[in-house]
Amino acid sequence: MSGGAAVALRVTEAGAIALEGATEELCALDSVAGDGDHGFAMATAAKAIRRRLADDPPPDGRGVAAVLAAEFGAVGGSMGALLSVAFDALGDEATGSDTPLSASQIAAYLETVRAALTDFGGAKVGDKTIVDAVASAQAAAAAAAARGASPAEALSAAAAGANAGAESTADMVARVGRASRLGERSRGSVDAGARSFAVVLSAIAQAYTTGDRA
Amino acid sequence: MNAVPGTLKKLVNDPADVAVELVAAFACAHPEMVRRVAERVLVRADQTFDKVGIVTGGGSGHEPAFLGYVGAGGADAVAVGNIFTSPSPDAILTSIQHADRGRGVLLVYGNYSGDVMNCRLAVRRAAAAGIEVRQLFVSDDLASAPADEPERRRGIAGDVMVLKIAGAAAEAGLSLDEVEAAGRAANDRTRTIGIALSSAELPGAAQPIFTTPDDRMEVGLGVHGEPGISTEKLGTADEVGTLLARRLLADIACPAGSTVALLVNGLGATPLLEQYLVHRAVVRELTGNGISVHRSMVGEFVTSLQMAGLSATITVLDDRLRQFLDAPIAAVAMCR
Repeated sequence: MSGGAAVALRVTEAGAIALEGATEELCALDSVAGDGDHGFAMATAAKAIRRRLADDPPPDGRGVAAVLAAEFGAVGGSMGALLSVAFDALGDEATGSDTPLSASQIAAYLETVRAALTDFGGAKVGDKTIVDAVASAQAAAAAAAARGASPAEALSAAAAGANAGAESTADMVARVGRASRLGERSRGSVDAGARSFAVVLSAIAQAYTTGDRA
Repeated sequence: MNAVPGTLKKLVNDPADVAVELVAAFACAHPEMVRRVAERVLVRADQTFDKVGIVTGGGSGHEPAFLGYVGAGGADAVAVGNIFTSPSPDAILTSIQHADRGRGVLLVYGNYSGDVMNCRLAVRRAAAAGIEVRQLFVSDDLASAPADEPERRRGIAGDVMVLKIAGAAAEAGLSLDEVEAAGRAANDRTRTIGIALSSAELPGAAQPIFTTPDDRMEVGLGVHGEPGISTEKLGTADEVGTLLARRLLADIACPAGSTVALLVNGLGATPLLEQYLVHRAVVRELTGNGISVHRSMVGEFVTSLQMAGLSATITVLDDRLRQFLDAPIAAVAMCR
């Protein structure tokens, strides 16, 4: 197994565990404007991802992305399709995963995810979706890279950006997705998809930093 | 997960497995009608001729939709997602492959972002395998977006009208173009508006999706337990029927002299008795406007778990649509 794959496996597992731990919070957020099952769907995918990575660890980052694309896709729903497409795109880009991770590479990965989500799902910044968290994380990572930050610093900055992006959705009115039927009534709560991205990226940043020091 | 939290008593096993169990259980109950070909896919049990395939599907929690419409004159295959969640591209692709008889496949789904995205991924793969698939996303829910943005409107009980009409066109041996045209005409001429009295509650969830005070009703509900677009004072059956009819007529061209099909659809917890009372009030308002009701359907067609409330759907008919609507169908949820 390559060093890149070991890192990918470690941070993916941490992200999955965090996602499972956030089930109730994510369901509660989803019930404000949706049907309240977002947390269950994410937990189902996270559980399946952890099982597959443990049973049959992929040899490289591309393989990890393929598992993520397949297992998110299998849960169905809009988030399933979106995340499946996003990890497919990430896998295409992760061919050279044995080169050491850099801050600018992190920003580039996040840009790939953002572009895939927007191209496939049509949501832009300000539409009260996961894209708000991803774009904010990407901008923070790019800024960190520009000032010469380490990968760990860039990931921490990206996680903070994701959290800020998720929080910003509370003031927005949903314009795409099922919540958009509610119009003004969707204002006031954080979007569940944006929140789950922030949860995962925070866990990834923490796991990466911890492993980096070890 | 063994214990099921929440305020309602539920008869489930593992809440995470309800959709997969539903598919197996439905096949167990109706072997003369459906056959299970994958964990989440059912197909017609009878032998079909080389017709245009009709595939449908969506989240579970809407029973008898969508698996209840698989049968002669209805859908050839259905893909079943988790509760209120669109099926995966894999399941949709499997349903398409089973429905394909070499004359193309029409996919009839409600217009939800999740369904649209997963269908798009499945259709891409079907096309790569040489199957021609047309996609029709039903958009009858007039409360879900303004009339000038029909592409943003969602599909609710109108799914049944569109599926019935497209299914009949396919069963008549028509081409993919003709079947698609019939389905699109049905969708263009169908509108639905509903009211909810109480919310659905998902198996395994800690609380209902929304709560409505005793003296209020949600108008313009979603069929996934989403709250409505406004809350109003709860009316009598007559008042609600009149309100629903007026909202429908305000949204669709249906002048005096028109003929419609009318579907009053219970959402899961409202008794048939109440559905009939509201139905009569809708008919009164329609006939008062010089509109004749060619056929009525009253009952549970597209539910939302145990949500209380109902919806009214009209399809403005022409001779062709009337013929397709009246054609025979032999499915679990509809037989004539």
